[in-house]
Amino acid sequence: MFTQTSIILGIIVIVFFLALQVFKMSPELSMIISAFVGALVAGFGLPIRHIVEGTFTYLDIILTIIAATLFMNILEDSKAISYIVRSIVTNFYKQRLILLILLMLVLLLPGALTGAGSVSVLISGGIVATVLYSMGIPLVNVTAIVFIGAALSVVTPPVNIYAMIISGGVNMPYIGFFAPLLIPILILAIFTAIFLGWKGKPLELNEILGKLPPVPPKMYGFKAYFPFIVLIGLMVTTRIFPHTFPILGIPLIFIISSIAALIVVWLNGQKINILLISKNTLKQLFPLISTLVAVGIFVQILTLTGVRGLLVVTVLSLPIWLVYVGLAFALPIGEAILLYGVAAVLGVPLIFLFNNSLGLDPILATVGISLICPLGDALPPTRIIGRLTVETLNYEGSYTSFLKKCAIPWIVITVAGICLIIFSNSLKFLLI
Amino acid sequence: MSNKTIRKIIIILFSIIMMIVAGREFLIRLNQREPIVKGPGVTTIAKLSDYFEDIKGTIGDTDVYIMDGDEEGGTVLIISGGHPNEISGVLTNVLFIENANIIKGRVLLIPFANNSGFTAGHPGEAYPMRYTINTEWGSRWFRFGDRWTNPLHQWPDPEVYVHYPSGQSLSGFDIRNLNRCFPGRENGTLTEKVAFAITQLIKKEKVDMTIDLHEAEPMYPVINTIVAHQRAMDIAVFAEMNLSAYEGIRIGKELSPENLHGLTHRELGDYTDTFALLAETCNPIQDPCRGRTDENLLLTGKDDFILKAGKLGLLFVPFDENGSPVDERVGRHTSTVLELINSFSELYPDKEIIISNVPRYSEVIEKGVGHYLLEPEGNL
Amino acid sequence: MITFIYYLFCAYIVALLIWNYVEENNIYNEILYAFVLMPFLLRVFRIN
Repeated sequence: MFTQTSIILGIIVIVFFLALQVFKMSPELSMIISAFVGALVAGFGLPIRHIVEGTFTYLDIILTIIAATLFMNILEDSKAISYIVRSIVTNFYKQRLILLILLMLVLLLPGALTGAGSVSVLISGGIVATVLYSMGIPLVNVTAIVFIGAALSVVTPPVNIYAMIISGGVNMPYIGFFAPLLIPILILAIFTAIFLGWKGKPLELNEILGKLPPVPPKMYGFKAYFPFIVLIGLMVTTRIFPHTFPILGIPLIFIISSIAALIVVWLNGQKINILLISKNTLKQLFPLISTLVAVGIFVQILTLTGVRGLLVVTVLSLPIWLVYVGLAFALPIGEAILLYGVAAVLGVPLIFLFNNSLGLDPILATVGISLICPLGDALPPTRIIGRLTVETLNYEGSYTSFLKKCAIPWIVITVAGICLIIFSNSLKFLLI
Repeated sequence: MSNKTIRKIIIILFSIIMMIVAGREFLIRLNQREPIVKGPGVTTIAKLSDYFEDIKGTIGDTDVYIMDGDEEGGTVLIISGGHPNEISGVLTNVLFIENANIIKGRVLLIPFANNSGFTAGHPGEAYPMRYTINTEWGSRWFRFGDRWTNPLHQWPDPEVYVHYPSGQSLSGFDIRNLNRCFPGRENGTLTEKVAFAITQLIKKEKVDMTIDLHEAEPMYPVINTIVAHQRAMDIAVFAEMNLSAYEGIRIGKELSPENLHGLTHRELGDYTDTFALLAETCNPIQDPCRGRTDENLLLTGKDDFILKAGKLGLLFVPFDENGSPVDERVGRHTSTVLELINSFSELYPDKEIIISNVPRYSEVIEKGVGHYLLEPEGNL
Repeated sequence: MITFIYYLFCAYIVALLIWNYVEENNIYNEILYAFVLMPFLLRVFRIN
C-alpha cells in the first residue's frame, strides 16, 4: 500500500508541476487536473461524483467570503472607510504610534471579516498606504507593511480559513480561536508597523487630507459606523439568544449588514450600482473562490486514493525536531503552491501529530500553523497577495527588494508561530 | 458564432454533463431507500412522527420497528444510524429486525435515526455512497451516509451551536449532529426535533433501557467500549464482565461525562427514566490516516497506514493485519446488546426481556452478516 | 424563510458567475468557472 500510494502521490506531484510550469496553468487548474490523473492512475477511472462532491467542501466558507466582501465593497463605495481613515488622521496625526496602530487595524479589518488578504489590500491597502507614505515612510517599507498587514489579516479572527479547514479536518470545533488568534496577531501587526514605519517625518494634516479620497458631506458620525453596529449587533445577539433568535448564519448577517450600508447610502443621497458592485465582487473574489473549489476537489481525491493517509502517517512518523524546523519552510512554500490547500494537506496531519502524539494544545497549535502559512502569499509561483500589494501600491522597485524589507517581520512571525506550537501547553492562558 | 463563443459553450456543456452525471447519483442517494425485511418478530412498524407530529412528512421521520414478546416484561430501545457513516449499528439493528424472536418484553428499534444524514455525503472524505453485503441467495445494499444531517434539509448552521438546554457551546455544524442534540427541542431545528421525538418515544413507551450503537476511528479514545449514564453503570459492568468471561470480547466501560451534553448516554439518562447506554466499535474508514477510501476498506477494515499508526502507538484499539472487518464489528454489537439486555434482566427481574434467534459474536464472525439477512421480495 | 434567502443568494451568485464567465477571456479561467459553478447550481436545484 505504501509503494502504490507513493507512486500515485509522485504522479500527482509531477502532473501538478507540469501543468503549472510547462502549460502555465494556474495552481487551481493544476490541482484539478492532477486530481483527475491521480484518481485515474489509482484505478478509480473518472470519479465524477467525487470531483463534484469535492467542490462542495468549502461552500459555506465561500458564501461567507462573498457576503463579507460584498459588505466591505459597499462600505468602500459609500466612502465609509475613507471617512473612518480621515477621522483617524484628523484625531491622531500628531501621535505617530497611535496612528500607526490604528492604520494597521484598518488594514486588518477587511481580511479579518472575509478571510481574504486580497480584500484587505484592495479595500484598505491603497488608502492606508497614502497616509503611511505621507508620514515619510519609504514606499518599499509601506509596501512591506501593507503586505504583512494583509497576510496577518487572513488569519485574524473571526474568519480564519486555515483554522476552519484544519478544525474541520480533525473534527475539532472552530470555537475558542478568537483570543488566541487576536492577541499574537495584534502584537505582531503592531511590531511590524513600528519596525517598518517608525522612522519618517511628522504628518502635515492639510496635505494628507487633500490626498485622501473625498467623503460625501452627509457621511459622518454614527452613519459611517452604522453598518458595523448592525454587523456586531447581529453577531452578538445570535450568540446571547441562541434559542429565541433565529439562526441567521454568518453570510446572512453580512447580507443584512450590507443592506444597512445601502440604507446609509440612500440616506446620504449617494448613488451606487449594487448589481455592478456584486458582479465586481465576484470577479475580485474569483481567484479565491476557485482556489477553495479546487482545493476541495484535490482533497477529496487525495483522500479517495489514500494519499492523504500517506501524508498523515508520514508526518506522524517524522522526528519532531525536523517537523519544527520544517514548519518555517514547508508551510509558506506549501501556501505558495497550494494556497489554502496547505491547511488540509499539511495542517491537518500536523495537528494530529501535535495533539494526539505530543499532547500539545490543538487550538494554539492551529493558531501557530495558520500564522506562518499566509507569509507564503509573497512567494512564487503564485505570489497572490505579494503581487497584488506591489501592483496596488505601484511599487516600482524590484520584487526582491520588497521581499528583503519583509524579512525581519517574516522571521519574527515565523518564530512566534513555532513558539505558539512548541509552548502551547504553557500558553493556555491565551485561551480566554 | 466566434471561436470564443463556441469554446465557452463547450466548456459550459462539459460542466453541465459533469453535474448531470454526479447529480444523478446524488438524486439516487436522496431518494432511494434500502429494503428492510419485516422479520417474524416484528409486530408493528410505527413512525417516529407518531410520537411527535411536527416531523410528519419531513425527512426526519423514520421507521420504528416494534417487536412485542409473548409475555410482558421490560422495554428496550435500540438506536442506530444517529451517525449514518457508522454502519455496524445499522446492520446490527437489521439483524435484530429480521431475525429476533421476542419471548418476553418489548424491543423497539430505530435503524435509521438520522434519516436525513443517510441522504448526504461528506465533502472531502470521499466516502462510498453505499455498500453491499453478500449473502447465500445474492446480495443486499445499504446506504452509507454522513455523520451530520443533510444541509439540504437544515441550512444554514450558526457560527456556534449552543446546546439546548445546557447552553454548552459546540461547533456550528454540530447543530446537525443528532448525537449532540439530545434531549431535543420542540421548536428547534430538524435535528433537534428528531432528538425530541426520540425522547418523547422513550417517555411514551416507558422505555426501560436505551442502547445507542456507534462506531469510531481507531485514533479516537472512546472506542470498543460501552458508555453508560451513571444510573446504568451497573448494567454496563455486568455486561462487560460477561462479554469478557463467556465470549472473550475485550470491551471497555466508561461513565458518561456529566458536562458533555447533547449525547444519548447523558441526556436520555437525565431527562427520561430510561437507562441510557452507548456502544462503540472500531471503524477504520473514519480514521484520518486511512489509505484508499473505498467499500473494501469499509467492509474489511484492513489498512496498512492505520497498522503503521498502531506501531507508532497512536491507536486506542489493538489493530493487526486482519483489520476490523464488518462481521466482527456487528458481532461485537449483537453480543453487547444481548449482554446488556441480560444484565438488565438480571438486575431488574420484574422487567425481564428475553430474546432468541439473534446471532452472537462468534456466530456472526463464522457465518458472516450476510448469512442473517433475509431476501427482500420484489425489485432490489 | 432564512433558508430560502440562502437559496436566493446562491442563485444570485450563479447569475453573477455566468455574467463574469461570458466576459472572461482566459481559457484556463473559463474552465475554472465550469467547476466553480457546480456547487452553487446543484445547491440551487436542491440536488446536493
